[in-house]
Amino acid sequence: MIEYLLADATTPAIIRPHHQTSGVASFPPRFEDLVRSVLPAGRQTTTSPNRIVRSKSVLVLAADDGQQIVIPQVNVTEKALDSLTILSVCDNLDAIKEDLGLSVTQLAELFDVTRKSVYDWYDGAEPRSNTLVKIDALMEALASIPAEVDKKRLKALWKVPVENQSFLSVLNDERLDSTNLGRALSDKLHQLSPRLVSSAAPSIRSTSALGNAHLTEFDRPGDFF
Amino acid sequence: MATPISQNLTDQATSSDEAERLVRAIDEKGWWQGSIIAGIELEKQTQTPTNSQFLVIASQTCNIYNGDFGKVPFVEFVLAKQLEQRNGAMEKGDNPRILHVEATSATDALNLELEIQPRIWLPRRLLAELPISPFRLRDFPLDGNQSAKKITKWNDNFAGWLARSYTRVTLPDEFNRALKDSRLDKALETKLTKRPDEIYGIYLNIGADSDPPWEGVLGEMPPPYLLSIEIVVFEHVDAELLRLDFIKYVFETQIQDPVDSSLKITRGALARRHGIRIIPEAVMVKSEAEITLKELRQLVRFSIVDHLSDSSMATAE
Repeated sequence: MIEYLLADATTPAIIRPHHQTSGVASFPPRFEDLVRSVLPAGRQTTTSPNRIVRSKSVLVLAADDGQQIVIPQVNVTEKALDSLTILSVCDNLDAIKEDLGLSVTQLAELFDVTRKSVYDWYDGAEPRSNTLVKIDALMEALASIPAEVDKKRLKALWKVPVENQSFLSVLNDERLDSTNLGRALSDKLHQLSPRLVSSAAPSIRSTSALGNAHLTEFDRPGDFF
Repeated sequence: MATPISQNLTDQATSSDEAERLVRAIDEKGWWQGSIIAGIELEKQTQTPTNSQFLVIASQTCNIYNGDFGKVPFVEFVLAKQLEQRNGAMEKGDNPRILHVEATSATDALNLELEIQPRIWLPRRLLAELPISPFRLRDFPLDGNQSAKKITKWNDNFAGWLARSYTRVTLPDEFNRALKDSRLDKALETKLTKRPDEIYGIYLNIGADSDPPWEGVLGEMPPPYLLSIEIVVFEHVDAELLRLDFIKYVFETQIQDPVDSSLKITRGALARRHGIRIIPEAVMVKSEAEITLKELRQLVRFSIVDHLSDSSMATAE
C-alpha cells in the first residue's frame, strides 16, 4: 500500500495500487479537493477527476469525459489503507486499449505476446512480471504526452524506427528496467508526437466513381457453409 | 452446366487490320462488362441452344477491347433470367451463387437473377456481329439523399460478386459448426439484417486457442478457437452504442440452454462450450473511416448464406 503526497500539499492523498510499481485506483473525496487545489494555474476541468491512471513519478488524473491532468511532482511513502477500490490488470489493459484504439490482436502485438495470452489475461490469468513492467511503463509514458497528440495514431507508427529504434522495439527491450523503460518510452513518444497530432482533414464524400469491387483483394468473405 | 458453344467455336488467326475492324465494330455496338444479349438472339447467330433468357458479359472491359485476338480470344458470359421483383438480400453479393441485379436501358429497367455456375465462353469476334441488348448493368453515382447501403453501382457489384467467388476464405468445418451450435451465427445475422443502413460489414478474426499457435492454413485449423468480432459501420453511426448493445446481446442476455431447457445461458458461454472463446474486449465496432488495411487483411467477412431465404433481410430494399 502506497501513500502519494502531492508536492507542496499538506494533506496526504492515499490510494492503493494493484501492485507494487503503480496502479489505478479510485479517488477518496478529499483527494479530489486536494487535486483541485494544486492544479496548474489556469487549468480547469469541466468534470471531476475520478481516477488515477498512473501513479509513480507523475500522477495522471482522469475524468470520465476523457480529460486528463498530469501532475509531475509526487513523493511516495508507504502507508496502509483499506478503504479504497483496487482496479485490476484488466483495467490497465482496457485503459491502454481504449487510449490507443487497439483490438486484442493489436494489444498482443504491442506486448509481443500471443493473442491467446491476451484472452487469458482477460480471463483472469496474471501476466508475467516483465509484461506487468511493460504495462506500467506504457501507462506512465502515455500519460506524459501532450493532450493534442492523437494516441490512436500510434499503432500506425509504432514499428517505424525513429533514431534507430521503433516504439515497439523499445517497449519490448528486455534489457531495460522499469524506470529506464518508462523514460525510454516517453522519449520515443515525444519523438513521434509531431506525427501523432490529429489531422483535421475534411471527410471525403463517398460519391467516388469507384464502387467496392476493387476491395475484394482484402475484403474477403468466409465460406460459412 | 456450360453449353458446348465454346467448344464448337474456336478463334481463328486474326490479322491486325481485321482485329482493328473487329474492335471498331465492338466499340460501335458499345459492348462493356455487364452488357447483355438475349439468349434467343445468340442462338440464332450460333445455332447453339443456350437454355437461357439472357447472357451478361463477365469479361473485364479491357479484355473486350484488347487489340490482340490471339491473346484474348474469348469473352465470358454469365447466364441470367428475368425476375418480376428483386430480393434485397440477393443484391449485395453475399450469396456466393445467386445475384439479383437491375439492368437499365435509356427508358426502362429489367430485373435479372444471375447464377455463378452456368457460364459460357464465346469467341470475342462474335461481339462484332451479335445484337446487343439496350439493357446493361450500369454504375450510377450515389445520390446524396440515398442510403450508402443502397446498390447503385450494379456492374461494380456484379464484378465484385464474380471476384469473391474465387477469393472466399475456406473456414474449418468445426468452426462453422461451433458458430452455428453456439447461436453466434444468428447473433451476427441479426445485427446484419436489422441494421442494413448502419453496418457495412461484420468481420471475424479466427485464431487457435492453443499453445503454440497454429501455423497452418485457416481451413484446417483444429478447435478450440479464439474469436474476435469487428463490426464496421458507416460514418454516421455511433459505434460505441452499437458495441455496448452487441456485448449485452452476446454476454448478458440469456437464452435457453440447449442441453437443459430448465437452464439459461448466454451466447458467449454457449460459444465457449462449443470451443469458441470470445470475450467482450474482443468485440470492436469501428467506422469505415477507422478500419485499416492491416486489420482487414487479418479478418474474414461474415456473410449469410444458408438463411437468406427466410431472413428478414430478404425483404430489405
